[in-house]
Amino acid sequence: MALKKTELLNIFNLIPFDLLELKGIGTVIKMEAYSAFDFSAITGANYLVEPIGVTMKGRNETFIHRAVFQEGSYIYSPGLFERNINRSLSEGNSADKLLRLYPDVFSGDKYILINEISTGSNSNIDINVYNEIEKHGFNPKNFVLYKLFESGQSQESIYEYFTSLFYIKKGYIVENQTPWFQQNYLYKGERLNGGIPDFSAFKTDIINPLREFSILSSNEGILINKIPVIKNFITIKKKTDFTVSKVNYDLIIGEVKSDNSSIDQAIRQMNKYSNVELANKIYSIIPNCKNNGSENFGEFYLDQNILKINESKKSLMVNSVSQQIDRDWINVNVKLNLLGNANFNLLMQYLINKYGLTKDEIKSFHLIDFAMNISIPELIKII
Amino acid sequence: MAYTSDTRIKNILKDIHIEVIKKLSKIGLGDKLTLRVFDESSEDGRLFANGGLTFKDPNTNAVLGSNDAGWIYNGNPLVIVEGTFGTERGQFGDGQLNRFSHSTGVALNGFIGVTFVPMHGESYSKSGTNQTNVDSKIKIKPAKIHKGLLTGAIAISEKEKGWFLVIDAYAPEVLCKLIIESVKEKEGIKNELQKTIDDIISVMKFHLGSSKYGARSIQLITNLHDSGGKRISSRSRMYTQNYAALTTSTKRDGHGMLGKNLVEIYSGPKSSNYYAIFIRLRKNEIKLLSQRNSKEFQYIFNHPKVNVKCFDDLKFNDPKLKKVLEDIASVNIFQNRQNDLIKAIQTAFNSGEIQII
Repeated sequence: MALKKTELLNIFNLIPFDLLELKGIGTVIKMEAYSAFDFSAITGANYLVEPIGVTMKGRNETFIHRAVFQEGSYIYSPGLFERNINRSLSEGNSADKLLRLYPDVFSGDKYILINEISTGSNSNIDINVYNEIEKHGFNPKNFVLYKLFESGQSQESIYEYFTSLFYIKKGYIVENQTPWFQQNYLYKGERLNGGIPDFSAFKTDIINPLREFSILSSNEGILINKIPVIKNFITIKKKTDFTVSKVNYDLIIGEVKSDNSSIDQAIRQMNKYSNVELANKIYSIIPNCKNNGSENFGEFYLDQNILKINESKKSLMVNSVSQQIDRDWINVNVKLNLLGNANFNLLMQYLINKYGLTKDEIKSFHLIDFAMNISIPELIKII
Repeated sequence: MAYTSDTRIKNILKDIHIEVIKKLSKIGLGDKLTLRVFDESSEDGRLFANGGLTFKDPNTNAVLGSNDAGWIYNGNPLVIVEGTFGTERGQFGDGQLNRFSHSTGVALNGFIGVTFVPMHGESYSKSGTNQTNVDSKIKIKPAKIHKGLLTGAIAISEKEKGWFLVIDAYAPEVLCKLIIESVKEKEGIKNELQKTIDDIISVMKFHLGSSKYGARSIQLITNLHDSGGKRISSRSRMYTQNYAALTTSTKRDGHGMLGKNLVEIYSGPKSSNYYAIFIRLRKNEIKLLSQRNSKEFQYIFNHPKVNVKCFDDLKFNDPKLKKVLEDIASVNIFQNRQNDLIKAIQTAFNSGEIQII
């Protein structure tokens, strides 16, 4: 099902976001910078802070596979932090660096402009749109360009975005670039084939210190991509009236298709995800699929342009040992993301002192080890 | 959706573009250059002339691999980049050649093609080595740039009208300089383009070291003979895949085969013909492969410098060797390695015991 611009605007309006009519530009969705960041980081929509357009998607890569599927090993990849030519740790997409490069991303109101791309047309229209906005007397730096392909291509991420809003409200950390496993995983004597979930929402006990230091509000969650730059949006400070609550490991994953015609493929994928007995719940996220036909998997779907949810009839089998390994890995992952807020030179100084090495000798594995062994209150001191 | 190298690469290339434009603006050239880049890689595959980032091989008219971004001057390609972080994501061997055709297409058309890749990456892997003073869950395997990729890139740069440059993805400032100097050169002002290119090639040669392409290969043939005993090639390869492996495995396998072919066509002696010998395929299977609508197979079958041969095109002096090879036609040799047999066949080719009919 190819979503039309009018339908998409209607969905946003019902969330609700304000729609504005800008002379010469058309209807745009108004968001605060804090919300617009999530939209760009999930859908890949480009901020027109530069004529070429830049996205916040894909800037916080840390782990590409879950440790539980890799015999406990931590499979890291640069992205949030980089390597230099000597393979030493270098600054990647830290909060300070992104603020320095793209200050407009982090403040003021943003306007999401939806531009329809007809089938066969090239989508690298950013510069033209930038010039057009300027021509009509607006500042392009306040605009985020979302390209809506009339063919329906690449529309999955918009459903990932709406599902993210749902789980952020419920207090979960969410992501749409879910580490899983590559190729296969030997489980209970059987070699299981892969596939990577489109969406995940999770909670572990790390939620508590994140709330204690105001990184999360008292009841909301967060998009994981935002954690490395959170200090650009809010002041990180310890709450005096914070009470620790019990948070059990909870992992929800979603398989997104833009049309019901792909339901068989979605079910095959979800069966693969459930075979590893890690996720507590699995959902199909398909706008026109109210019933996926499986008792094991729930559904997210659109009804009158509002996102609705059906729970599955049966509970999934979970392996508590796997969940414990995964909890530890998630917590390290969150801490690595939080380290994106650190002043890079200060962070390097901590690593130099801890490992007794020179700057050039500090590698990415020292950073991971550091994240594995530091508590959130200690980590906050570096930010 | 999973993390892919693509988004990271495109973000880095856009950041480089912004830096380039800033520097060019300081010398009054900020409006001379545009960057062609797409959010989704699906559009990279359009031909450059149609607004995409892909080029045809002028020798065969076959479409080669697509690129991630391209800097354009006056409507023409200036520097076209294909990026990959394969060497830090577990790509240790021939898989790196999957992308060889991408910059090849650019260079064969007379432009500057750049493969942007960590020359010495580190992949985190459960089968890697533990590091000193850090948790045992952290294990690393180094992955150096494929020497074949460097060999082929240098050969193409030497023999063809364009450049195939390999730039370390950990040194974005080198790419930045290459683009700026290219613009200056086009503008006819004082520039260091040739020096920049020479420096890049010098780094490529440094990473290549004294390595001789295929020295450890058991499939490369350096002395191929026809049935009359005449030496007909000093750079050819036997391919050991059977029909099932070539037609049911992932597309990337064909991709790798194309990369290997290109490396060997261009890095071999100019006077030598190149034979791609599929030792486990029969004539009917070759015919079926040639009819497949696959970019990789079409390229190999239509390239004027590639002679495709199969089991039926071979004359064996030793009937026992022929029989053994015939008997493993349907064996999965990735699971049941046949290295001793392959080595024996290589020796037989090189000594003229197996000839091309």
